[in-house]
Amino acid sequence: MTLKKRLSELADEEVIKEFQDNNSIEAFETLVKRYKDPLMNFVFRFVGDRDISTDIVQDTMIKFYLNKDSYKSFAKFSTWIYTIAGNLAKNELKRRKRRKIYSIHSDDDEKQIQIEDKSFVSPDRAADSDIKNEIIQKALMKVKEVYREVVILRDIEEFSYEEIADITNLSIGTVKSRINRGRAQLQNLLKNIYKE
Amino acid sequence: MNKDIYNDKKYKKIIKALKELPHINAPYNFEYYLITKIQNKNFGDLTKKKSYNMFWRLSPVAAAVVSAVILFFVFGDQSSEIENPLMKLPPAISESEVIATDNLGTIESPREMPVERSETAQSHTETSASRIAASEDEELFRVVVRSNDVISKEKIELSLSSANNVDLDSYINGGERTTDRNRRSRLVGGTESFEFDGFYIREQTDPRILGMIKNRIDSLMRMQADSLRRLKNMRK
Repeated sequence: MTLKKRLSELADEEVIKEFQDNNSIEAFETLVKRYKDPLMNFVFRFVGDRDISTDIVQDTMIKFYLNKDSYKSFAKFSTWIYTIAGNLAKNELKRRKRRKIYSIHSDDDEKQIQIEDKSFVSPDRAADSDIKNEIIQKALMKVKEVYREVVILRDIEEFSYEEIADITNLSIGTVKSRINRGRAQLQNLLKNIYKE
Repeated sequence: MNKDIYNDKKYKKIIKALKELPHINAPYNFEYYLITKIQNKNFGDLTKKKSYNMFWRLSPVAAAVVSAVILFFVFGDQSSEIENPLMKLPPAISESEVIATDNLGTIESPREMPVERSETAQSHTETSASRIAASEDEELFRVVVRSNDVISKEKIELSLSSANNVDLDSYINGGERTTDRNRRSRLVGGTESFEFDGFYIREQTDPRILGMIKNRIDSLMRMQADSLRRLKNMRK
């Protein structure tokens, strides 16, 4: 059995141990293959740009390669690598904010957020899945970042509350309340399409 | 992964819509570019250490502190320069110095207390190159009367070398007449080894102080003689 085949059958924590102990590039490649797509999905939903998401995931893997020894085996590998990706994505959004020209009206939690009129789609047209997906993604980008992150981790990546608390370094109570608030905002934005 | 159904029913449709979103995958050449970057060590900003912004944030405070310290030293605490005349201590009795040879008994008159040394009493106007040269071998002692009336004798090393200096007073008064061209040149420009140490002024010592010192020296000598006599008697 080749090394790659053997590694593909091992758990994440065993593969990274192999990488840490023997500096095995095959072990590194195994983990890259396993997590590149889930990370790409998470970062894209969070940042909203495909090219930037690709760069962020590349940087995540490089950081993982350079700092492999900082991973401690008592934590889950998935939470560790999602933490790195989440931090890099937040940094990117901060950089974007600094470059952005602010409008006079600031965002407000209580203010009702509406999709622009020119992108408004009538309900019969919204059945078209591609358009629907685009609308949802745009609405997701309008949700506050701290809510958006946990909503994506919970409802798209399907992590548990405990795992999300580890990734975001928040308490479980805070995670739950932020998820609810994020869903509420999203529902408000998509009220024309999804009616309760 | 364990799912908690806490409050999920309220947002069932939204959750369903999010789950149904298509998964975005990494590009097909993702791993190729990643391995290439790693092999070329093209890590960009990821290897840069975080600069400690805290120091930058504290720099205005540090600048203010440094400015305050500089201003304090430049303008502050000038009160020490102002002397309160009422608090001023009375001047201490100045130390009287006598430069003499080892033979203290030759001192007979104030006029015979030269700055230059000589064994025989000479007029202070008379100085000669030969006398200065001859005195090279003698040892120089200084009798010092301290402010607490303690008399002590200290060996001195004159910073002025008589061989290299000229008594300006005598030279001006005409006492310094010599055909010695070397000596003349010493006044003008000096010999090769000449180093001009400076003009010196013959000080006229106070005759009262000199008398006082002489009396003290006499009493010390008497005491010394007495103690020697007693020692001799004890040995007998």
